[in-house]
Amino acid sequence: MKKPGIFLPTIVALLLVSGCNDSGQVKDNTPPQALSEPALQTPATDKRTTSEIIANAKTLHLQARQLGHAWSTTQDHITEAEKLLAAKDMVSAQVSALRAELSASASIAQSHSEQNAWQDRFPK
Amino acid sequence: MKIFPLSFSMLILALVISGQVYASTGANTGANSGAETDTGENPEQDRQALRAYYENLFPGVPADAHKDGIYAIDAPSRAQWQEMEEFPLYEIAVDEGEELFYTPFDTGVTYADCFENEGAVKQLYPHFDEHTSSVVTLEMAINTCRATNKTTALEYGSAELNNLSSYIAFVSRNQKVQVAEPKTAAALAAYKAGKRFYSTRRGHLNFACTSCHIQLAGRKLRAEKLSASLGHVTHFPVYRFKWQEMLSLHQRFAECNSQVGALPFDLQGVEYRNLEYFLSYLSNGMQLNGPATRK
Amino acid sequence: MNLNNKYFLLAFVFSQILILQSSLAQDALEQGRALTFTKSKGNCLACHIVENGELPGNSGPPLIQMALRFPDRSILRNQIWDASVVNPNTVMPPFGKHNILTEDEIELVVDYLLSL
Ligand code: HEC
Repeated sequence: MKKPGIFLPTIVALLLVSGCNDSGQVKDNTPPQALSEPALQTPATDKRTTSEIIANAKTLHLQARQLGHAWSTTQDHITEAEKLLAAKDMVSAQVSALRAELSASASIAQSHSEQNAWQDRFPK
Repeated sequence: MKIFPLSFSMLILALVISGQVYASTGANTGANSGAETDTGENPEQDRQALRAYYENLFPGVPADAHKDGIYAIDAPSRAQWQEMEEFPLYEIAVDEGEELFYTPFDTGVTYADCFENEGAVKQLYPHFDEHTSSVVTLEMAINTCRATNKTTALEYGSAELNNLSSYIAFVSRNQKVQVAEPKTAAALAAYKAGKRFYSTRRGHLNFACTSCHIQLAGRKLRAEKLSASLGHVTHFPVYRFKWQEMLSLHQRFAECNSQVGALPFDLQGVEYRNLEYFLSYLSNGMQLNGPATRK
Repeated sequence: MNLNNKYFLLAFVFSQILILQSSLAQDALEQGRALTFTKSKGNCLACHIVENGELPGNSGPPLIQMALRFPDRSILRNQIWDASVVNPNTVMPPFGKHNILTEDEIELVVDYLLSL
């Protein structure tokens, strides 16, 4: 008796299993504040302490404020990070600190890109 | 196995595209700081252009009709609003403001001595003061009156100040906005700063005031229709239904900033004063109709 | 063991995987739906008509027939990540660029939209 294509279905099955695991993990085990944010991808390799990240976020936030572009979300992330740090929830604290830093940088970037862009928005 | 074909094709699809999904991370375009080109402001041209813009956007609605804010362009809520106006909720504020207006300071002087015409002066504010090279608002003038009478300043946004400005708005009804055209370099700079503020995207939601009130005017965010810029200054202070209290124009600016995720600026700070100056100039010729009720 | 049994076993394992897969997918779709509708998250309803979404705004086009109109998933994702790349004057918030949604949340929204 020949064994027609028992291997093919097996391979397909294996493929499916791996595909299934893959998407299952990404979708299901992700913490609410995902670690797969590009800038947050490897928080463990960030050599700075969370306090240092928070301090940097605050500096950037202040800079944004002086530029008239501070975001309330930056403030929220900083507050959150400090709260988590005080509660010794180190991983979440670091994620919040990095998000604060990300927001602060984006708010400064916004002030740069708006430097001239505002001029086209009023009826002429 | 009913789910087989569907799930199977989903899986194949997922396999095919999974390669692309994480590959395409958008890049933050870098800062493009450049020398600021001075376009030379022409306030009167701006005002005409804005009026033409709305008349074109809302056929049949004259530009001056926007003194009623959103109710100029939202017929269903206009009827509701008119009902609310029959028993105006700002009446208490006006009454309390009136009492304050005629209560003498220790010097024996009242606000009526600071503000001519029994307080019907709202149309004179804001104005650009060449001596201090800054925009003077009604709220500032109220505190100046207090200072000259050796009385401590009222906190901006406080009930007492909002009541006083409500009374002044009330007795100034039917006057027309008449901001002098900015002519000097300093006045034009203040006007331009206001225009820039109005047109600049802020907050993580990345909205400028123009995004909602020019670009999207008449459209809806959720169930809320967006109003035109014209007339935004005519009807303040407003009784805000949502908060059950009087709200100054600057408090509304702060609310808008917060709504887009931007940290608000100081009430009566230079940013909001310049903004008020710019917006008021644009509403020149429109009838003052404050205080008003707003959802 | 005869060949039919083997096939039967294989088919059984197969079907279990698929059932698991589809319930995970349902979960993910539900998460995506929530992100799309919630005010503090995507709040896409502020501007877009989305199936079963109450009181939608009309500042953007209706999000319908998405799978048909976006055969290239990355175009949809990029629109959500930063709409200003395609239209510099857009009023649509740059959900990815401004860190309003995380990368994973954007993927969930994309999955959900593609199911519409
Ligand atoms: C403030 C309004 C606003 C919000 C909020 C908003 N969008 Fe949009 N969106 C727009 C506008 C306006 C367009 C039209 C194209 C453009 O200007 O970019 C658009 C276009 C799109 C398109 C392209 C539609 C097509 O048919 O080509 C997609 C997809 C989309 N938005 C998805 C979303 C998703 C998902 C969300 C929520 C996470 C969202 N939008 C939130 C305003 C908005």
